[in-house]
Amino acid sequence: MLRGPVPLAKGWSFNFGARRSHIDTWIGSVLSKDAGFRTAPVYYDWQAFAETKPTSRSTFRIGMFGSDDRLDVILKNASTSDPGMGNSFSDETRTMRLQAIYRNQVTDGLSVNAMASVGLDREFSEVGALSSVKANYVPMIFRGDLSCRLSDKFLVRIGPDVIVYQFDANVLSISPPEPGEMEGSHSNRPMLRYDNQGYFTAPAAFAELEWTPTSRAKVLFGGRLDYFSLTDTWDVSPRLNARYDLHQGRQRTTVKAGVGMFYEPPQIIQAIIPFGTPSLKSNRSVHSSIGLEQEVTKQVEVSVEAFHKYLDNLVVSAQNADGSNGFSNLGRGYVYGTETMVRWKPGGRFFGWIAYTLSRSVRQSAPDQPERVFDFDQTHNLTVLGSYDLGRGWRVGSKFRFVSGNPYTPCEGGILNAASGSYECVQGVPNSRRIPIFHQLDVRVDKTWSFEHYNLTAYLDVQNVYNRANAEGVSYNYRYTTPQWQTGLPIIPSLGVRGEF
Amino acid sequence: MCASKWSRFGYVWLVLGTLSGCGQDSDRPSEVHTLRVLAVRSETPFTKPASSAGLSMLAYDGSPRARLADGSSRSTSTLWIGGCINPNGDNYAACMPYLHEAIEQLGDANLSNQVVPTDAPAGRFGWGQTFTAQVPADIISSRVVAPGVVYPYGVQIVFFAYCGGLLKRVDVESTKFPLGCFDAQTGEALGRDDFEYGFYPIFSYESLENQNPTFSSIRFDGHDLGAACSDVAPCSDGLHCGSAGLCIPVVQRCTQPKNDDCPGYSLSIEVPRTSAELATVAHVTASDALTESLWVSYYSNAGSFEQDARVINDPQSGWNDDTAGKWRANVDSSREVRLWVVVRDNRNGVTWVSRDVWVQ
Repeated sequence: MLRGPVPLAKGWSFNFGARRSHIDTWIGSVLSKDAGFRTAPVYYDWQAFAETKPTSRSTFRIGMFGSDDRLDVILKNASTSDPGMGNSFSDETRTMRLQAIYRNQVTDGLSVNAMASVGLDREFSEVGALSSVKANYVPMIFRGDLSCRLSDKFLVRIGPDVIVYQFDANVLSISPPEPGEMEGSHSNRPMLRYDNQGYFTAPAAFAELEWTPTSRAKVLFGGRLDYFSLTDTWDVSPRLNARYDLHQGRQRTTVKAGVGMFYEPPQIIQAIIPFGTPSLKSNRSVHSSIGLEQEVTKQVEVSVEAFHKYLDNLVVSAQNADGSNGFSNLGRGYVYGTETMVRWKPGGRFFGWIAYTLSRSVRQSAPDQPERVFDFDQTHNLTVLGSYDLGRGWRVGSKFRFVSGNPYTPCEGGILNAASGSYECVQGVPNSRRIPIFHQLDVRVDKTWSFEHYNLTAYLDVQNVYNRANAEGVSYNYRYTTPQWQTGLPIIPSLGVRGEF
Repeated sequence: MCASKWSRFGYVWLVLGTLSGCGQDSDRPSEVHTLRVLAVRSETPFTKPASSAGLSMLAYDGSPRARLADGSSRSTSTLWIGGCINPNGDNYAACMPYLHEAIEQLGDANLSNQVVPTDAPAGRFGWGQTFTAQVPADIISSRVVAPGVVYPYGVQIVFFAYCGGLLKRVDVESTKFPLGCFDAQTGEALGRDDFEYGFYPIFSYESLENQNPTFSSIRFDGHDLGAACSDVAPCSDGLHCGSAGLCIPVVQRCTQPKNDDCPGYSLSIEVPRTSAELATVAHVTASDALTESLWVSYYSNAGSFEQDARVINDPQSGWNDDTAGKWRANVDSSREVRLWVVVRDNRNGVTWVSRDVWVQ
């Protein structure tokens, strides 16, 4: 990464950075038994920006960034679970953006921010007998906000958030597997075809009114209007948040509460023929929360928040009226829980926090279907993090995580698809089991040497210090009769050096 | 928003699962040590409306329970159930309520006597390792044509159950397979090592056809199919007269503790390139279609293959000439071993052949 003044352009500075992955230098030796690479996986990303200050209160930044990610593999062995899927896999994803950002604090009470970008995205992928995707996109994005203080008590913020995508897609593919769907026989699923060019748009606008009736209270009224052309849907999302200081000054005590509606449009593939259902609407949720913040000492703050989310219009798999596979908005669910955080603020030699979330997330595929816990429901989620400055450039830090295992749907044996010769999982009660609890300790030690024009930092980072074999999922034998945990990464020590000039 | 692109298709996990070797090496599909259905073949993978499809099954009872105390083989039962037409999403699971009704109609007495009721419609039930499915005349016209379909089609899911004993109705919810398998002598419920069930989908088009793959030769360690033999007409040196009355190759039993140290014998098949047809299906015309995926699966009832399956034709990377199976004679004692080769395409075309080998 390089930064500095732009030569011959007074008032302009530049910022350039580039990265390249190194996985291609070693993955071949790890996977050579099973896979032959035509192109080893390579990832680049880069950015180049120039920035100036047109006035003392404004900045203008323009530049480009992009990434390039490629992989091309021919497997030496056919898949055991589904040999008909073929033995080749290639993927090429490129992104490039031209972006301009303007910020202007016009007066103390008026500010303007704007960001516009245009780019080229390309996605080519081929997976044996399963899919061939060739897609090019021209994304055009404009976001901005105008913030205006009307008086001591009122601040208004409004702005647009517009996305326009021009696309040219040629897709030949089986129906994509659903998240969480077990491996099995996919190769004999009929191919579907999508060949189209056009635009889809997602313009939105938002407005917020911040009201400060007293020095103790703050209320935020907001709303957002979204349109999604693919489903021809308008969504209105009102939101309200409020804070009140029960006790000000040292050992501040604040209560806070909020309620708001949120929408998320369906994924593109869920809303286009022949993969999905065009009549879908957006997923909807109503979030509400109430909490308390308590400053215990100058450094220590405790917050507790209870939350509830009601979810409906969720997009779920369903049969279309013609009997083909599609989606519907019949899904619903709810989430509730508490978040507790004890935070030691930065500023001294030590900083850190303890965060604990206790929650339950439930879904229904349709109102008449039984409830099940959500795929990523985590009853307990605890993170303890701390970092201590030992002096003389030495710093030691550690992070410990303890998380309930995700639910999964067990296979009660397999049923043979005799056309493909592969077995399909006979699913038991959805999400009726959980993978074991995840816990991991990471430790890092840094030593920084400061010189006149640069800093040099060396670090030792050890992830999964006690080498816990955390289960990340479950796999089965080819007949789905014997489960086995898929475990994550073992202990990973890494040494590094970083220079800042 | 911008992340909602085609990469969300989710194939990456499939491929990475294969790359990382997910699966359990100790339990391999090519090693037939339980009761197994290895393949089902339709004479016409795509069958026209108002016609019939002859199905045959390649099955083997490799279970340790297959040999009875007196040295004879236990009797097995194979039931076919046809008639699930155009289930929702063309999904076999949507047929389960229909299967429960069909088994109810078949009745417990016919199940235990392995009889097809006289009043059952043709193509509803069948016993044994062949079955004739009937494709209704309205299988295509009775369904609404989904948007994007170029060639309207229908599908019938034919189920089968292969049991190392007697099939009986079991009391399970309507989303589960309604049959269980029970020991003919003791009545004990048998597990999945002695009971296999599955399905074969028969697609029906007015105009589209698909041929089963073919092969022009099969060789074991350079040997073609052997000549006929008997006690009075023995085989030449290096060959053994097998139980099927054909001269079969003789190989040395491998006693190496590690399978990888055993010599591998090549089982090679030659599949003509014409077997990889254009994969035209309901949504895909010939001008847009890729070629079919073709692959070969290897099975043996003793010893082990180095690879369970090989890809013959990948629609993207093309034809692969190196598809031979490498079999190792890591067998406990001298015996005749059966090797099966099943070639499939991804439009439900199937063909198979077997070879016997004497291990000494």
